[in-house]
Amino acid sequence: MSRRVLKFASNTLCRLLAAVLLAGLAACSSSNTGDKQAQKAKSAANSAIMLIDNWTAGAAPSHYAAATLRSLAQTLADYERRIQTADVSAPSKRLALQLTEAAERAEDAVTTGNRAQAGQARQDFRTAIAKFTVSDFAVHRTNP
Amino acid sequence: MKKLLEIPLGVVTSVGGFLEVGSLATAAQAGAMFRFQLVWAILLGTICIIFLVEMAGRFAAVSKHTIADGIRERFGFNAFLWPLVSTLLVNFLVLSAEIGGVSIAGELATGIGFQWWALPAAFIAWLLLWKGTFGLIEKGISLLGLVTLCFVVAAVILKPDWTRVGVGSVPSLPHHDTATYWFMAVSILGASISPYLFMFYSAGAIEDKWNKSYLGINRAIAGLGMSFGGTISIAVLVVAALVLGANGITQVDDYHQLPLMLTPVFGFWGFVLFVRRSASPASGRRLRSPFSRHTSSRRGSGGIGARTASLVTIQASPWFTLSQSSRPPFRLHWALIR
Repeated sequence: MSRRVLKFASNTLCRLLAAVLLAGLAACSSSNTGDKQAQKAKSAANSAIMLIDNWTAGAAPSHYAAATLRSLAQTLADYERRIQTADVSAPSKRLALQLTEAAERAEDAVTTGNRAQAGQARQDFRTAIAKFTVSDFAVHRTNP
Repeated sequence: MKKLLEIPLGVVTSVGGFLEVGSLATAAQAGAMFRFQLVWAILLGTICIIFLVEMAGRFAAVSKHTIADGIRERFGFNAFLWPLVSTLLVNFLVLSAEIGGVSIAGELATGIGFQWWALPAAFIAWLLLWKGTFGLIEKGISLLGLVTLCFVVAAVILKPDWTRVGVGSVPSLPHHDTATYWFMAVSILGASISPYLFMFYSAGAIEDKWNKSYLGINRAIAGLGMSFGGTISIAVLVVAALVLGANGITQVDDYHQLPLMLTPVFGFWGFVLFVRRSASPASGRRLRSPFSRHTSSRRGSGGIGARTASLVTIQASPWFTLSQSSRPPFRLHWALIR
């Protein structure tokens, strides 16, 4: 009896693990990788805007703001690298570059305590996001 | 009277220890990406853990055995060996992650890279275990964990549309990112139903010499404590939806983004509260485990089974998720080990 229970439990556990693995693989190998990258970039840009707002209002310490902007700049730079090698329009490539440069300027502004420059970087982010359309930025799967 | 007093204390420690950073990060990701749509997953996880904890406490109070003891004695050592080995491995990984988490809190607070905080964090954890009293470890640190209630306060201040939150408590199909939605639901369940919770609970019941007269207390602590914990998880999801999601931050894949949840509500103190929450080396439940192992061994009542019950409870917050879990393979990893 106890062996039967044990076997049932182990079978159930195996099936559950397999389901989790499948779900994980599905999440990893989503067909719209380009869209996901674009969403990630847009989210990073929005994070940067929010962070600059917080830093300007004194709600976020400079060391934290600078470190976060550095990390976000890295995310945007990765995205830009992908975009530059993908089959997308020239304005889209320029927009990706604009986002990366805005992130770098924002980090620099926070490090040096330059609020005016941070405000400018925030404006650049807003301008870029306004032009941002996910479908325009999507990296086609046929192009790495 | 003494037993009745144990209820609020038990509830408080349950609340303080319920929401670890793994749950926090997962709820934040879910809220940012799907707004209130995954509230049901937290509810389901909470109901499951209430039943599991209640059963674990009842089992211990009536049989005078920990869960691990019960498994070993019922199914034999050979059947018990695999859970033992895997638990040891998982605990090692999770304890490492916990130290990583405290290190990240150190980085957020000071700006000094998290790598430099690993050894001091490990030392402090060791010191607490070596020098701290049982009460300090269990109650003191769990009470400190109550700072997590700031998420509930933030959720109330943000005035969400409670009708929509209520609608989210019923499972529904997503409008976008279907695979991610279901994966996140599984992650939330994995983060909520932590084995250490009920494993530890049964070990604690044995240590506190519970008997049948404690069954009511057990029910109250399991029901109220886990319900309050689940409420805090939902509050995190709500705050993430209203702060991150509403500001276009739909992908929470960097631990740096998390403090942004509280700063719009509390200003600079929001940042401080988040760091303070993150800096807890572990909840009392987790730090208590080595004590459990020690007392179980000394009592001579458990052998490997009882010790394993204690070892299971060593599980710490998967702090690693903060920095890595948003990447699917890592999240999968944590979903599996939890």
